[in-house]
Amino acid sequence: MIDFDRKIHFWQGLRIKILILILLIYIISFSAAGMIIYFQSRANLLNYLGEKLKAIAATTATSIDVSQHEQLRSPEDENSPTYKEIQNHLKRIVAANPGIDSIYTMRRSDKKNIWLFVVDSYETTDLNKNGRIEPEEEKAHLGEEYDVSPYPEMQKAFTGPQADKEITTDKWGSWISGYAPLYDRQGQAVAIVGVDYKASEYLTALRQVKILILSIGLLWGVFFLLVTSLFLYFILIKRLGMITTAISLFSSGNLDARIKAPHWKDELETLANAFDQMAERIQKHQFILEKTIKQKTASLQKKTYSLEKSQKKLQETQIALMNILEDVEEGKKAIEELKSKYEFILQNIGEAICVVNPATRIILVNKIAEKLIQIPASRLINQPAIKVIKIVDKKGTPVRPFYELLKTEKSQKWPLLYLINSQKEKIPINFTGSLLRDSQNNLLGAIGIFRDISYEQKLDQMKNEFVSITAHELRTPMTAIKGYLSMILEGDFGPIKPELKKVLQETYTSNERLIRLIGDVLDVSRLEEERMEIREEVVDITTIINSVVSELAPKASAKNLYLKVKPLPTHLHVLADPDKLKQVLVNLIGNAIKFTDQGGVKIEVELSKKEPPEVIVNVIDTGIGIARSDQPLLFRKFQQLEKKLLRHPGGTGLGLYISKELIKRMNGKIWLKKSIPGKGSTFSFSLPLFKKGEK
Amino acid sequence: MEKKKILIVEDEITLLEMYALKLEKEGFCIQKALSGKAAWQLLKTSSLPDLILLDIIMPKMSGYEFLKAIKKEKRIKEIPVVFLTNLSPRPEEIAQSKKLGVIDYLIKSDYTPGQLAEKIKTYFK
Repeated sequence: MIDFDRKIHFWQGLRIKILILILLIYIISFSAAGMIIYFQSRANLLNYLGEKLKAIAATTATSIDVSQHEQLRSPEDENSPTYKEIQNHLKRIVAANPGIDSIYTMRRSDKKNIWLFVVDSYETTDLNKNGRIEPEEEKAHLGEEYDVSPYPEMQKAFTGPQADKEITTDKWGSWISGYAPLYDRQGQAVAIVGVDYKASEYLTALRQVKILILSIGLLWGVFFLLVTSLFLYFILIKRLGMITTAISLFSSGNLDARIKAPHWKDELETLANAFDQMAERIQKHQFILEKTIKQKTASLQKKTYSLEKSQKKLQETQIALMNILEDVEEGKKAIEELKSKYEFILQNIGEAICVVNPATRIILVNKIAEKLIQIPASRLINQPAIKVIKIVDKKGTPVRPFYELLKTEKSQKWPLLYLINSQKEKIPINFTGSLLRDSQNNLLGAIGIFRDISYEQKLDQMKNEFVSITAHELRTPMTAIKGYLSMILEGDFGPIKPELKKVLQETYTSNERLIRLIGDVLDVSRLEEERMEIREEVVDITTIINSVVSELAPKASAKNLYLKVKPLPTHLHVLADPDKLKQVLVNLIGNAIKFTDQGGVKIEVELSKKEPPEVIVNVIDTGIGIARSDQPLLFRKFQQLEKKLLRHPGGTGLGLYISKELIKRMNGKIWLKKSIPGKGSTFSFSLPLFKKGEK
Repeated sequence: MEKKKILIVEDEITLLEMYALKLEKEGFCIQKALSGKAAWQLLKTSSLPDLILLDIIMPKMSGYEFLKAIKKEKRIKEIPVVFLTNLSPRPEEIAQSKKLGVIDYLIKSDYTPGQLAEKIKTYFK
């Protein structure tokens, strides 16, 4: 946690740190500049002084009488008038130039770098307290030796005017000196003139320069610091203060705090803006967070409440469960008993039972099934049904009843299938399949109940033989009756009375009906036992219709009825058994003729518009029609509607039933299209259209 | 025109007599046999008929057996045979019959003797 309220000590503040830094920079730079200025000024001063001294020395040299000067050799000459004259001359020049301490002349000695003084302008009479002249006040006497080796500029003085480049010090004090040669008449430098300028004078001038430089630097420095600190305050400190204030406010919880920097156009503005943005986001997130927390808290409270409730319920359930458990123990015993009972029933039931799971794996078989399949249950359980229970149809094509049941999810019956047991025996079976579901209607598997029907088949065969033989045996006497009656009626045994003829005719008709009835009964029995063989041939329906019409035409004309076929544009083909189709047509057209007394019968063929296309045959009569209440009974067995209509005997009551069954087996439909009592009926049937290329 | 000779093989004597009576009236020469065996002897001993009317269900030798037997004999096998029975034929039975050289398959109860005579006349046209 940052303590924004912490007081920053003045000397630790950024302002003072920056100021000190600036001050340091200022001092270093000013010192450097001051030194440069100082040393430059000093050099200039020295140079100026040197030039001045050289000029004075040179002027002095020209003003001295060389010949007189050359006369002064021995120390006694010091008191000579010549010496005094030259000395005075020199004294005058000293007096004329302030700052000059003394002017003197020197000449070379025999020794190297040892020169000898000739004339010296300086002369003092002041004595010290010992009554002597101070050594540094002592004048340079004529012939006094002076070692010039420490003074390089002096050594070059015989060649031309020279000046010291530094302050030189000897026993008389500190000086800056200028020199110039003294030439004789031959232009030979015989001596030099030296001019001493007091070093103290020079140093004073130099000090003045120093003071000037320092004062200027100080003044400038104060001004500079003032401006800098003002600048610092406005540019940095104030802005930093603003930022700090905002941040401290924000951190203390005031999420509305913003810097809102004016256009500073610098890094601080960027910083401020960044902070503002960050604050904005944090505030937003804070808001969302608070909201979420509120919601979560609410839901948590709810959950806690429901949890408490569930806990209570759980406790109750626990108690209830304990009670139930006690009951269950008792119930278990009962269930075990019941289970063993069911098991007993299942095992000893007369039919073979096989149960499969949804993957058609066998989960249960009873003893009868085991016996029939001739494989022990242990080798059947958990096996795929198709692998161990081989079933084929009449034609020998494999059938998978369990798979079919589970696939279609519909219970189904197969009246005749063949089970091939492990001994490769073909056993005829009747197979009833149902679906196994639990109380929630979930599919658990399928149950197959099948029965060996060899015995029934044998019985059936016997029955059929019996029916055939009976029919045959019945037909024989009836044929005899029919034959002889017809012969009597045809007059083969002589003429007969008209009354007798009528009776004989009636007898003949009854016999005919009996013959037809036998035929129909045979058909029905074959249809019901699936023994009726239906061929599949491509049949031109128009050809069949025309042949039936021509066959029945005599009957129609006998009743004075028309019998016509509405012409068809194209020959339509259907896949049907031509004989059975003919049988149906004979039945329908025959009925139409039978029940029509006026008008006639018309046959229309049309092509349905639906897919796949069907050929529809309509048999339209103008007969007596069928009462609405009788219509639903039409296609049933032995519906002798005509019983009520005694004028029309001869029906067996099986014709429409047989027609319906035949059409059904040829994949068609038959129905009464319309019927109005007294006006006529229209019977229709449909068969799928055969298109070339189809099988 | 010479009378056409017809052999009727029929175990039911009533029907045999009835057909014989009517067909003779209609101008056919009739040979009667009550069994396959009798018919077989007739065929061997007398002159061959122009047509055989053959019943199917007969004791001892059925119509099919008789047919198979005569089809092995030279000359005899050339005689046209018509099945005359009261068995409702199945389609495959008719097909089988045609294969054995039967020219027609008639249901007795469908025809009066007079109609039968008319039908036979059509075979000789």
